[in-house]
Amino acid sequence: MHGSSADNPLSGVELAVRFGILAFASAIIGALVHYAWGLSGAQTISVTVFLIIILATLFFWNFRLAIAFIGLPVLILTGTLELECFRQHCSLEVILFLIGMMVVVGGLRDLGFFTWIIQSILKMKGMTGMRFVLVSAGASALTASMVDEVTSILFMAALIFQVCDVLKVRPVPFLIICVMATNVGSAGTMLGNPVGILIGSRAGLTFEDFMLWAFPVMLLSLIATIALLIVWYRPEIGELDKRLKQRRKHALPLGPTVAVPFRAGLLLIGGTIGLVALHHRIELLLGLETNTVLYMAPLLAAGIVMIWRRGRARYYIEHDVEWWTLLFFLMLFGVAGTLQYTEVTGEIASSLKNIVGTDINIMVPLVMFMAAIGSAFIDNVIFVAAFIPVLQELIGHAPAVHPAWWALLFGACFGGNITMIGSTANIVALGMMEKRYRTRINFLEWFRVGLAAGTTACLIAWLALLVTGPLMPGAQA
Amino acid sequence: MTDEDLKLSSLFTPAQVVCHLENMTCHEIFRHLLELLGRTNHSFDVERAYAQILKRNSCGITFATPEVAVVHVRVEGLERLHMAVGTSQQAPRCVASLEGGDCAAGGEDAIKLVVMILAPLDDPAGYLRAIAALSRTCRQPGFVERVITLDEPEQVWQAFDKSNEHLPSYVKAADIMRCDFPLLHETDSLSNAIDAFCQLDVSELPVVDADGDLAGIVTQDELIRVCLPEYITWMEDLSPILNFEPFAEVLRRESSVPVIEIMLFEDRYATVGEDSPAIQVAKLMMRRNVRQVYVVRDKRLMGVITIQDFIHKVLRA
Repeated sequence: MHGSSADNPLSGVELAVRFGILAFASAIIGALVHYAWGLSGAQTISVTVFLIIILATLFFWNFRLAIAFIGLPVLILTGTLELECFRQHCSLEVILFLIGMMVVVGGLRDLGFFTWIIQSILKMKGMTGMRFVLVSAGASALTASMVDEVTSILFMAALIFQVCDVLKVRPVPFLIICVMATNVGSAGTMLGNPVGILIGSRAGLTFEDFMLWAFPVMLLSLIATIALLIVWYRPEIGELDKRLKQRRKHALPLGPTVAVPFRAGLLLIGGTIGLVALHHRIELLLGLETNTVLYMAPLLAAGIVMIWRRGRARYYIEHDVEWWTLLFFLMLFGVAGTLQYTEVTGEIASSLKNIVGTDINIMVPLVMFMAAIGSAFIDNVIFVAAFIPVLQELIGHAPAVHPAWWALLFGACFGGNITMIGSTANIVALGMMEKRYRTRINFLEWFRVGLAAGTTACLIAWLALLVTGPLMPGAQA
Repeated sequence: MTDEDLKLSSLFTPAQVVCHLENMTCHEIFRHLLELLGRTNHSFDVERAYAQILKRNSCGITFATPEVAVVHVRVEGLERLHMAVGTSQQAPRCVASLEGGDCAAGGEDAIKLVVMILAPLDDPAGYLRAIAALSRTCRQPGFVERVITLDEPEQVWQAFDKSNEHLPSYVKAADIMRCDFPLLHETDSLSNAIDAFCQLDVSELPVVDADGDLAGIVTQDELIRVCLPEYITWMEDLSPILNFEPFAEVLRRESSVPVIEIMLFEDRYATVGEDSPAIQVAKLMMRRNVRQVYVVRDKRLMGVITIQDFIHKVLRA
């Protein structure tokens, strides 16, 4: 997804060299697309600015927002994009949805909900190595689909570190298992990953659609992924099992536990997810536009949290809401919208249609493959934001390729497992491990298992879409 | 003569040696040695140097070996190291308490030789190199015992000269390490670690195995983290832990749980070899963000250098 090297401050010279390379590469790419594809001036500018943002996420992670901030005025001031068009494409509803969920997550943390989950796992009777892997991976996936992948891994990594520290085993295999389960789980609902809500909002998909078409596929992929990881890491799991047995023999706990008043947190998450789950029914009942309740549910829950825990309201807004990321998304969606506005995506869609046609059996694996590879190396939100208008064009001309929406979702989420920079969850988990153990995972160590896990999950999803695709409403049309 | 060729005996002459200082107090000896140095070198102010020595004395005196006290001061105006030696068959009466703490920890009752070293103000390593050479000289079997029986300063100087000891070209980790330090054994319990943290002014302790090899360290931070793990600190509501409930588990098991339960392994601490340049210690402290570096011979723990030791030895000692 992105490089983390920018955490290290760069000298002025290094920065100038990198910016020079970025500007040069962008100019070359811009010139190439202009002459090779015969794009207009506005199209060339929109493609170049978008590519600069992609390159910025790869080489200037800390500057990505600054570059997006510069990119937008460039588009506006060159007349490539109009402000009204930006407003239409910036997906403010998605940003509001994410803000609401971030506040709810802050409330859940304060209320001890995550502490309760971790303690419940630590207190489980008869814990074995295999059971620990199944429970931690399952909890990672489910938490990711209930809240979001980053929140899930933040809390599950703490569980892994606690258990591995107590048992004196290397945490890397268990952390990788949980991160990969988190990435797979994040495809289960609209709440799991920003790409889920983005696809849902642009494709007009509801939470029920996700529960029907994505969640079961996610479960199958999760089972396959966990099975593969258990085989891959069987010596490490065996060692963990041995240490757990020794500890059980002496009746020693895996960590201190306290009585957590978890019911309030359970009520909050239950209420939020309940409202999100029923959004389509409520919309039908009240005659509201599709997904209106979906976007408003987290805001409603966030408002309640901020009144309930009014002393912490400002903290939730100032610290729990990831303004940096959200502003980047806002700019990115606007810039990606320019590709549609300048009809670049239409041309890509036409080219794609001319080359591979609209055969669902080709389009689904192709979209999934492209999304998986793209997400393995660049931010999956960037890839999805750019690809959505292409799919909208394609599906507009050929509704039968509707399952490609799900292929895009699964490819973007499962592809994150391929490399250690493939998803925000990977980077957060590795950062936590580096901070705690002052150790890094080798790129190849991750890539070997990541490629196997990512490919397995994508294959399962492809097979599932082969079966379910013809049953989907859009496909039937 | 290059700096590397500097012989210990070249730092002084027989004129800077005084024998049989029995019946003098430490302060009288310091004053006497300082005046000897002042007679042959007029580039520094004796009174000011003496005041500095008294001030430094309150922080303790360094011992090159248990019988050899080293008094050191950096003074303005000097261009090179100067040394003076005083011998005594009886330990001098010390007005101020002389604290030990270095590798050759000694005490006022054991002092037989008092060595004064004056160093240029801007030479942080000179004194440390001189004391390294002095330690090696005085550790030669019977050297100190023989020197204190000598009646003539010329004979004392010759004894130093014959030892043929040169100042090392750089200060090694072993030259600034502390050899007398608290440690825990792998067989110790959590209870021993807690006691040590409560009784000693240390924030981390090395843990050695049966062979004396460094097995890991325990830190106060880790102890608190074990009692209060991260997942409990997520809660904003403190009511479930107001009475330190998470600490109860540690209290229940502290005697039965081995210290290795909370031990941190090599990725969490820094080690250097005895012969590594001492500056490597400072580099490790900065790069690894640690406040203590362990000096090892292969894996055997030989000494500890804390950040305070480093600052004291390089900038003040």
